[in-house]
Amino acid sequence: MAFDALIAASDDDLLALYAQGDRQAARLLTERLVPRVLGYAARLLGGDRAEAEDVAQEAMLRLWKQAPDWRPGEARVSTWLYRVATNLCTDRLRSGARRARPMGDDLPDAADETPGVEARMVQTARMDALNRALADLPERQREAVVMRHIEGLSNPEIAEILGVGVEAVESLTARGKRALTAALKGQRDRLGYEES
Amino acid sequence: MNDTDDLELLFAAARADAPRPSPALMARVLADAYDAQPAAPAPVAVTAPTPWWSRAMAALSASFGGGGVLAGLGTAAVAGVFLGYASPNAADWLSEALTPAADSLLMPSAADLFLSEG
Repeated sequence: MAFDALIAASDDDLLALYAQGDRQAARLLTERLVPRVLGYAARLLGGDRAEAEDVAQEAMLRLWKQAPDWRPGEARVSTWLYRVATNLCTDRLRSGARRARPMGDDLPDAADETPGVEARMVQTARMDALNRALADLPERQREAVVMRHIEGLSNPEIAEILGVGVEAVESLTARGKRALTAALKGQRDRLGYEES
Repeated sequence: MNDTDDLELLFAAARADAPRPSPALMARVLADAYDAQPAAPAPVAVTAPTPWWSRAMAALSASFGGGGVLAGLGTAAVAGVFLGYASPNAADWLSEALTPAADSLLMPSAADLFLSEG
């Protein structure tokens, strides 16, 4: 298949091509999926980049191994990958074996241009605060809030990933946002939000 | 601005602060992909299906001991049919070619025999 056609191909099609030995399909899937699963894992793991990279690599490895048995149309590749990453993060958080790291120290590089020092400090403080507040949420609320409000997934997608109904997702995100709002209350000045 | 707006701003900041995978991570993931990748199937030569009459001829040929033997039998059969149906005159050229003319036989005459014995 021509490279242009590969770029336009769905994840399903690329995975089928990968299973047939197409190396370009492997590269395109890596470029598409690793940033997403890395970002998701980093948020769930409190900004621990090293742990998030391990999760991303392991989730992708499971995808490669699943490819020959993949049944197109049953589940979206990204949905399947989020579910695997969720489970891997849960295992790591429950095992308590994670390395102790100060929040924000190893947050990934920003995707936008490097801001000035002061702006960068404010951004780091905001991410620290968000990561702490997310870490204090119950597991399911944290996963639902991150997927809905940071990863931009739809409620039906989240429902499929978490194995719950759409209404349950709406409830999880609503309760999660209330808890985050309460946790961040009183930090406006420290986070650089000016009073209007 | 209220707390809900602050939270939305935080979410937006988190989206803008999306992780960028390191080249080392991408290389590790791609190496895993290649290691786990099934081998590409060998190309299969596409050939036209053999017609039934060709298969039947092949089977017949094999039963007679091969194509050479069958060709010999066929030639003999054709020759037999020709000799059977052709008029005798039509085959004269063949008999003339294979047998010498009667007057060309070198049979000694009786006088020659008598004289040779003295």
